[in-house]
Formats: sequence, C-alpha cells, structure tokens
Amino acid sequence: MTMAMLNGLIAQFCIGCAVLSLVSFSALQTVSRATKAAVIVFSGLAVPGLLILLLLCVGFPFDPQWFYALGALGAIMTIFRRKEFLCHWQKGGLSFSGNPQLPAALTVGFACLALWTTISLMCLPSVDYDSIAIWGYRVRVLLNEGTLYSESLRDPYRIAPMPKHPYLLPLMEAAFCGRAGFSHAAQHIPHLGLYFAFVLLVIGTAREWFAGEFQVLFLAAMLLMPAPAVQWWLEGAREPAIGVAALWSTYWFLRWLRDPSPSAAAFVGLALGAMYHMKVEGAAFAAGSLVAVFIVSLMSGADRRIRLLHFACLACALLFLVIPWTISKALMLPTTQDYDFTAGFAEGWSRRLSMIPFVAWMGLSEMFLRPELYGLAPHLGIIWLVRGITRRTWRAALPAVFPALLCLLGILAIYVVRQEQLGAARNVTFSRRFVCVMPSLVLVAAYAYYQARISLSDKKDAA
Amino acid sequence: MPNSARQIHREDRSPSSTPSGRITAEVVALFVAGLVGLLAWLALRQPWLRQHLAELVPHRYPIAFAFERQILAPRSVALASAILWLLALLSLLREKIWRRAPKPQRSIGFSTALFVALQSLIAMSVVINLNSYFLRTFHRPPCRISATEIYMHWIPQAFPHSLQLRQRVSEQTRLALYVEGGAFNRYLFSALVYPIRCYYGESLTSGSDSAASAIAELRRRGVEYYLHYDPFSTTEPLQLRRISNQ
Repeated sequence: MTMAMLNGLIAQFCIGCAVLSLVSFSALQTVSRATKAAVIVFSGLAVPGLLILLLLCVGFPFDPQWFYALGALGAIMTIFRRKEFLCHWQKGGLSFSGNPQLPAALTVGFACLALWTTISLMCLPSVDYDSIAIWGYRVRVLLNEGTLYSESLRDPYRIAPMPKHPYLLPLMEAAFCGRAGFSHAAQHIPHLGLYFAFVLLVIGTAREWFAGEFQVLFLAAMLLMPAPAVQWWLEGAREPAIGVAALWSTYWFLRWLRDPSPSAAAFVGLALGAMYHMKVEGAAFAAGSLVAVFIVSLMSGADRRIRLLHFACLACALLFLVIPWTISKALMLPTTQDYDFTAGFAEGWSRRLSMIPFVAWMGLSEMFLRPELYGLAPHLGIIWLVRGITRRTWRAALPAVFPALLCLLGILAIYVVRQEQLGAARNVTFSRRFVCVMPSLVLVAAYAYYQARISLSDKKDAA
Repeated sequence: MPNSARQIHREDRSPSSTPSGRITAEVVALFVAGLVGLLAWLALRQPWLRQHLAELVPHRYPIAFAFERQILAPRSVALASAILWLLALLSLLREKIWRRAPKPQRSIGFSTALFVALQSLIAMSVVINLNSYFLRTFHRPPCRISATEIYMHWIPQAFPHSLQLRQRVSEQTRLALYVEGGAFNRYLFSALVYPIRCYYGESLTSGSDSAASAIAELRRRGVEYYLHYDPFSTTEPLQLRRISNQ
C-alpha cells in the first residue's frame, strides 16, 4: 500500500511540475513561490483526474496505471522543459522584505489544525454517512469492477446510491489506492493534497496581494479557520474539496480581472472543470464563474476582444469536460427506488415564502454563530465588506463574488424546498455545504477592501 | 510586492506597532485572548447557557456524539487559553532575555494581534475538543485506534451485521436485499458488505406477477440469495434464503 501511495504522489508531483513548466515565467512573474507550489499540488490532482474521467466516460476501464502513465509523461515533459520549470524557482519575481514576523499564536494555531488534518486523514476512516454509503462505495467499486459502465452503475436492479453524482474525487481516491486494494489512508491522500494546496495558495495570496498587518489578518482569517481543516473528516471531503477549488478559481479570476492572461484563464478553467466534477455545489459555482467571466468580458473596454476570446476558450473547455459526463449520466437507467431531488423545485415558491426567513436565519447563524467551524473569519469578512463596499474599487471585485453568492443562494433555495419535502431532519446536512463558499468569500472581501485602501492611499499621494 | 501595497504598508507603521512595541502588543493580546477564553469557559460550563447558545443554530446535529465533537467544549477552551498564556509568558521571557537581539523589520498592532490570538484560541480549542473526544471514547489517541473499532462505535448495528454476512457467503455472491428502515439503511448496508453485490429486493416480497418477473431478472444477473435485513432485530437480523426456494 505504501508503494501505491508513493507512486501516486510521485505521479501527482510530475504532472504538477509539467503543468507549471508549460506556463512561461513572464506569465507568473508576480506569483509567489508558494502559489507556484500550489499549482503543482492542485494541477497534479485535477489534471490527471479530469483526463482519466474523460477516458472512463468514453468507455476505457479504470486502471491506476493511467495515473502512473500520465505521471511518466509529466516527468518527460518536465525534463524537456526543465529550463522553463527551473526559471520559476530561480528568478525572484517578488520581494518580501517588508513582511512582518508572524505572531506565535498564528504559528501554533495553524500547526494544531494542520497536524489534526494529517492525523485524522491518515489514521481514521471516514465515518459520515455519505462517505461510507456513497463515496467510499464508489471507490471500492472502481477498484474492483473498473469502470463507470459496469453493471454496478448501469443496472437499474443493482443498489448503487446516487450514481449520477460526479466522479472526480472517487476516481482520484481510487488512483491513490493503486493495485493494492482499498485503504483509508490512500483514499485520503488527495484530500490531504487539496488541503495543502489550500494552505499554499493562502500563503501565496497573502504574500502577493497584502502587506503589513493586513497580511497577518488575512493569514489568521484563512489558515486558522477550522472548517477547511476539520471538515474533511467531520462531515465528508466533497465540500471542502469544492472549497479549495473555489478558492483557487477565485484567486485566478481576480488575477484575470487585473490582467487578462491566458494562464490565469486556463487555471480558472481547470478549477471550474474540477468543481463541476466534484458535486452539485461545484457545478453551481462553475456556472456562476462562467457567467461572471462573460459579463466582465462584455463590460471591459480596451481588452474586450481578448477577454471574450478567453471566455470562448473556457466555455469550449468546459463543454468538452461536461458533455461526455452528461451523455454518460443520460445512459444510466433510473432505478425504481430513486427519488428526484429536483422534483417540484420550480413550482410553489409563493407557498414557500414563509419558509425563507427560517432558512435565511439558518444561513446567518451558520456563518456568524459557529466559531467552531469558521472562527471569527466571517465577522472580519463582513467588516471588510461593509468598509470596502462604499469604495469605487469594490465594484471591480463584484464579479468575483458572484459565483460564491450564486452557489450560496442555490444552497439556501435547496433547503427552502427541503423544509417542505423532507422536513427538519434534513437540516443537519446544511452546515457542511458552507465550506464551499466561505474561503472564497473571505478572499474577495479582503481583496476588495485592500484595493479600496490602496486606491485611497494613491489619491492621498497624488494630492 | 506591488508599489501600491508598499504604500499601504508604510501607512500601517503606527507608533504602537514600532519594533519595540511589537512584542508588548502581542503579549497583551495573548493575555487578553486567554482571559476571553477563561470567560468563555465559565459561560460554557453553565448547561442552560450552553443549551441556549446551541439552539441559536437551529440546524445543529441533535445527535449526541456529533454534538460533542462539534461544539466548543468548556475544557477545550480553558486548555487553549492556558496555551495562549504560556505563549504570552514565553514571548515576555524572549523580550526580556533577547531584548538586545536585532528586531524584525515589521510589527503588528494590538487589534491585529488580538484577532490572531482569538482565532488561534478557537482553532486550538477545536483540535483539543476533537482529540479529547477520542480519548474520552476510546481511551487512546486517534492514531492508535483501528478502523474496525471506529466502525463498531459509529455503526453499532450495520457494521457487525455486515461482518456476519461476509462470514456466511463468499465475496462474489450476488444477493437481493430488502432492508427495514428505508433507503438510509439500504445504502449503508450494501456499501458495508461490498464486494458482496446487492440488488433491490423490495419487489420480491409482494408475491405478484411483478415479483415473478423481478425474480427472473435477478436470476439472469446471477443473483442467488435473498436477504431480509432488520438492523434492530435482536434475534435474527439477517434472514438469508436462496431465491429458488421462495
């Protein structure tokens, strides 16, 4: 099992390095080394995952050797493009001389969370219902039966819970199990990878965009937020994984807003594809992002053409990822036991109006009255939001917050419907979904507020 | 760092956050956060207040073990406060002992240090709470508990029953499954017994024409057994029969 995990990690690293080597140094000149490391970790998981998923959708059997083969290809590509790859690490694009020394409390708190995440993911089996009954089952089926086309998922008589939920994470989990059979530790390696991609991205963002006390505040808000660390084990890995992809997409989207570079658009596309193939919340976020990219492209002045071109490329790439899975899903025969989640969703909203205040309170209490999940980060985020929203620069960041808000509205709408259909018992699943949007909301609030301060400072200097 | 960020950075240099004031602000913030933790400990120890705080979040898990893991337990908060005070003491000692050592270029103010300390207090409390849950329940840290033990604790009916079924039939067996208690138990049990493959067995119980056709369909798929599973039965939770005998 150790060998399978090691092989998986090497393959992931090689693929991530190949992706980084494909991006020119000039495109990532203002990107810190921590973010480049996040590129390696995140791309090393998302790129092979999406490629293998496409292969499965067109009928190839699942085999961990696909992952290793992609890893070998990545290694060869990195060797051929070693100059470009090394350039990212050797040339310094950013200076961090003004960074404050981090307070001891931040280091100790973060060390506690990171240690718990590592121990819980490496030593404990997932115990939430969905992880056992849906996602863990899929990993075992993939390892034993090899394909999405097997009778396990296409046979209406076979018990296969939620066969139409997407497959990216089960596939990556199975890839890390390799040929050694199912193991909880191997299954959790992609989760650990995504958590460390989150950490690296937060550190990179703090270094690139913020300075002084604000940098410390941002680091404390994000790295000491318990949910992105503890939810993997507490309530399942899908939503925190979407949270990481959402943060990744928001970061590159904000970069793309400042400077429409192809690399930023490509990284947004990678995150959107990954999110779509994780779960429905990710699909909502991805759809919101695509709409935001389109609106920004239309509304931009001088670089409208290039932005619209990026939007067209993004839409094509997403269609390329979405269509095979949509066809694949359509081929699955419904079982007699299935119930439709979306049945009656569109009708009866006038009847449900009375339920909206309760669900809105659920949402507010989830954000502001659950320090054990988000700490004080939402409170700080709302302060930034209120102070930044009056500034002109906030409008520039508004498109970046749109996907998270759309996803949040979708979550709230689902629970308004559920109050009627399934009753209060299903409300317990409400809290695990907020981790999808919370980190990216805090990032956008911090960015908008900081940009507002910069613009104010520029005005003062000009005066 | 972009130029504009440098400007903001310059603006941030207030007298209270000069290098000489840095450690003081941090130490005071750590001490204050520790005090806040102590007050939280006192408040959370009151069951009525704790209950009232828990009820403010209407969708919180009503299940005891999930509740214990997730809400900030008073003892965890107190322990995290103690750690913060220890950090304050260490910072104070460092200031006294290495007062003449070169100072870092930048420093942070009191409000920032307080936010960091409070956020850290919460993070540490959560981790202590989670660990103490395992210590309290299994009397061992999480890294020394086997997966079987954890499943036995979390799924006290379905998991041991799935082990019993595995002993009774081979791994490649295909069976039609009827589970009492609805879809929740059906999906859980069929996942736990995998690689034994489970098929919907609900329609087999009716004795009608549709049952006969369902049996024919299942037999075509190589389904040999019918299992009636009642997780809450204390006598015979697993009733296994050959399909041909029905």
